[in-house]
Amino acid sequence: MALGLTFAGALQAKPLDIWISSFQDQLYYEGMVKLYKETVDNEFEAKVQSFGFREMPEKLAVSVKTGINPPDVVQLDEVLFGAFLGGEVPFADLSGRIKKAKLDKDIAKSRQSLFAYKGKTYGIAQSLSAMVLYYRVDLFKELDIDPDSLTTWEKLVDTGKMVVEKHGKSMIALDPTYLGILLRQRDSDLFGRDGSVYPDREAAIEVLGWMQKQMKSRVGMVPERASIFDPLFFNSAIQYGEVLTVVGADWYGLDMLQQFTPDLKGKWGAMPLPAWKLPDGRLSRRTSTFAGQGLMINKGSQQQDAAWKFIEFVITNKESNARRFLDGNSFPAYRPAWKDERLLQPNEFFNNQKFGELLVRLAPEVPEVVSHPNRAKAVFLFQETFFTSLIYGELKPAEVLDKMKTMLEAAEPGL
Amino acid sequence: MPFLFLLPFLFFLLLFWVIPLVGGVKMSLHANGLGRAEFVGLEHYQALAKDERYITALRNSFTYTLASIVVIVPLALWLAHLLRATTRRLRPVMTFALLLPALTPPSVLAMLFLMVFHGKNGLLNQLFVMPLGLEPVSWLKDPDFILSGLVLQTVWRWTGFMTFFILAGMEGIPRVYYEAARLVTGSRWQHFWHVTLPQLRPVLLFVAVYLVVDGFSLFSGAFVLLGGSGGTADAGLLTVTYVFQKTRFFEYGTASAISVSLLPLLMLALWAALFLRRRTA
Amino acid sequence: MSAQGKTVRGALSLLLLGPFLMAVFVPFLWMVLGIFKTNAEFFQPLTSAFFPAHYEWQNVVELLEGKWVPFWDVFGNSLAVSLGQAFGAVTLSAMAGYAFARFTFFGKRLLFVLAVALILVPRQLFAVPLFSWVNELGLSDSLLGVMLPGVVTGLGVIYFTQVFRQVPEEYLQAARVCGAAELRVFLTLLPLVWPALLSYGMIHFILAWHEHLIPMLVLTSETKQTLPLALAKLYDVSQRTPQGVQMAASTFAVIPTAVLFAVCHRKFKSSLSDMLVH
Repeated sequence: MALGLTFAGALQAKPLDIWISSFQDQLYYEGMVKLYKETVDNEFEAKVQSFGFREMPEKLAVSVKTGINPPDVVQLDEVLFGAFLGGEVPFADLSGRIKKAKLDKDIAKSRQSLFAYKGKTYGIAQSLSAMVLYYRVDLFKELDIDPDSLTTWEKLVDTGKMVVEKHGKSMIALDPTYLGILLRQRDSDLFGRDGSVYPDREAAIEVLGWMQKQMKSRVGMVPERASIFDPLFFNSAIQYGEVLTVVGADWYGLDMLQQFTPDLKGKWGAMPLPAWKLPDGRLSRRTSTFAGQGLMINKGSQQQDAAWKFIEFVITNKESNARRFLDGNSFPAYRPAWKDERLLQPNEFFNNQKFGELLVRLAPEVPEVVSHPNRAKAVFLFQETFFTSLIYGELKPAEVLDKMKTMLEAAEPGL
Repeated sequence: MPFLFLLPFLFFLLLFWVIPLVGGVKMSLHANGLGRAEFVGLEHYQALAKDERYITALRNSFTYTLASIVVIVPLALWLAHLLRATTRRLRPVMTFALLLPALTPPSVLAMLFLMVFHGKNGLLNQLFVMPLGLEPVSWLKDPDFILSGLVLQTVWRWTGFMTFFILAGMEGIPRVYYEAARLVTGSRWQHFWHVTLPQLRPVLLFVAVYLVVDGFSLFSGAFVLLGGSGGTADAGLLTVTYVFQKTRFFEYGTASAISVSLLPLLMLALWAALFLRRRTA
Repeated sequence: MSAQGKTVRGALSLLLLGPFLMAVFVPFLWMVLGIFKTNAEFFQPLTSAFFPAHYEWQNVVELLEGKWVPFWDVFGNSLAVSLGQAFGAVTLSAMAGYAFARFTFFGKRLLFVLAVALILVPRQLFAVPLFSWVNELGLSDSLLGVMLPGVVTGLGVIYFTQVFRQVPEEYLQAARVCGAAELRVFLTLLPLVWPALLSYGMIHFILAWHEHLIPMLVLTSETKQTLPLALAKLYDVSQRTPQGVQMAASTFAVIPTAVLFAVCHRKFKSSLSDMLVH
């Protein structure tokens, strides 16, 4: 018996090396390690390290390339994950393990393929990342706008025109990430499953044109730094009520809005995205998705079993999911967790709306993201180089699309 | 004999710079990506020669560095001149002020510049541009202004530091030279042009090299202002930024090729700056 | 110039320096005041909220307690690395500068240009191979692994070559006449040029202090990180970390160093003028 115990102890010799992308998440994972030790395996040891959000992928890449000290488990955002798909993928294929743990039934369907590519699944999504439209409840009331009437983008734009004319305010904030978000809302994406770039040219041009048009008419407003992920934007335009709505995922509203506009407590609401009128006459889904963290196991790790057990714990454990939502504002992709009362409470900040309930309601409609090795490139290309040219009207939507398409098709790894 | 003095330097140079340099050159001759890279010869270099963005980056870096030198050197000279006239008792305060921007960590600078260079609500626009009746400048997104923003950022950051050295250089100029000059002319400008400036040549050369390092080698300047972006239409794309963008997508071969391609260019410029002047002097 | 004229000049100069001083002290003040602001306050446009509403010391306390980063470890690491690099760089460059200044030998120019050019090339070129190499030397995740590569500097070589070129011939003659060996000559020159040694030490200290790429790759353990790295990991896309903590850390990093330099500057100002009297 003693021999058996020492043997078991010796198996978990080295602590598990876990690399995380931000300090806040590091705290969360350290908490999870502790919980795991208490409830599952008190021999478990793990070293959780965080690096800057921007530093982590680079450090990981260099460690993979040189083979020096790679971690066992790594947490990456899906956008940055894509870059690792060119050539030999450094992550372990988890499809078998996922099936065995029944996670293929329990993780929201659309999120299962988030970290999958060419038949293999390399990571597990942690968040649902459903997009909603955040709106100013108080300003809507003041301007006599009924949120339930904004069922389509057309209707939103019409209302927006009135808002601009009569009150000099903008209806919606615009951000480069909306290109992918709106495309996904209409069953398209930046890449096709066959690896093609901007597969639905018509849709892409329409979305680009739409953004440009709203900017021109002032129905849409582009934050000064051309990105809504700008704290100064929240503190000026949003605070001063210059813009009424923002498209965002759960954590935008729960983190950024609350932090930067605390005195607007109770004045925010969330609703499903207005729908597009699709070419075949139907209405599109009323949500979309962008980004989201996931956990991966390094292919060369010597402790893949131990790593998986920990990951499985983090994904399925009730406390862990509740914590992620309550502390980290990330709504889980793990469906059984949605029954947890704590996730469905009325939210004071959102005018006592049951925010979690809205997300659960939208969950079945959340679209998939098509993985591609050049996904990160595509996102950054538009964001850094072409978005402002588009909104300043220097380039036409078709021009922008064709330029991006050419650059991405020529880019490595050229699949 | 001289090798005794050169030995320690050469030892570390070889160990920590030349060996990695060889590694870097090797990488530039192999394929991009994270796996086992295959040998591709001069492919990356050939691609660069046709790469529009590479040319833009070269041009921008050159403009940026030149502009920084052209603005900072006279400004620092002037500041040093002013400082010499102020009371000695305030010197420690002044030194403190000169060094502050250089000591501030880049992460703080990133925040600071966000607040300063922002559009309508940024400090620069609110305090300088708009009071003059002009439209607020979108420093970070307007392609016409991005490089200016970069130069402004570098001016703010390093002028004080350079002033410090110029000041030290000025104080090292023997007074006899000025006394001799005074016999010829009373014009202080002439004194400056014919005594101070020539005597400061070594310091100014050092300042210029430092700014070239900032312009071509260090990424923090561009990074704090623009993140990894080259800005709209690549107006603010510097060679370091381009290298960063390549490494971000794990194109190590291309990134190394860009850096290596700069080496002969910079060596040539350095040679010209150091040794050509000797002949004319 | 009359004493009165001097005062007028002094006052005028001070006035003209005003904008410069403001351009420097206002951001510094902003940084210090940021310690006490909440995130919402911190990101207000500067013209609307420069001063915090309340002065809460929580961020400082938390930082020093090590809640966010192991501050003392990290600060100590940065100091050790920067001082080590500065010291090493000054030694190596001064000796090399002396060689370049006072001797002629085959390939001198080429060597000089090569040594300097290496630092002009984007750092990223060296990053991955250096990381690999440092690991092979067994220096991965150690402060030495960051310190040693940094003692080589082309900037220093340029600087000290100039410095030693400017030493008046008389000194060298005097030293050589006594039949001293070259090394002895060099050592006797050191007290003469020590302001330069200090100045360059300062530059190098500052550059090492801000270094990001190599430390990021070489250092992994939390307790081995340098200050810029530790602060970088506080960056969060959702901005959940209090900016005040960053500001506090930076203030603690900046103030002692700036004061140290200001004090040292005073000291070598006087020795510089001693040198001039001759």
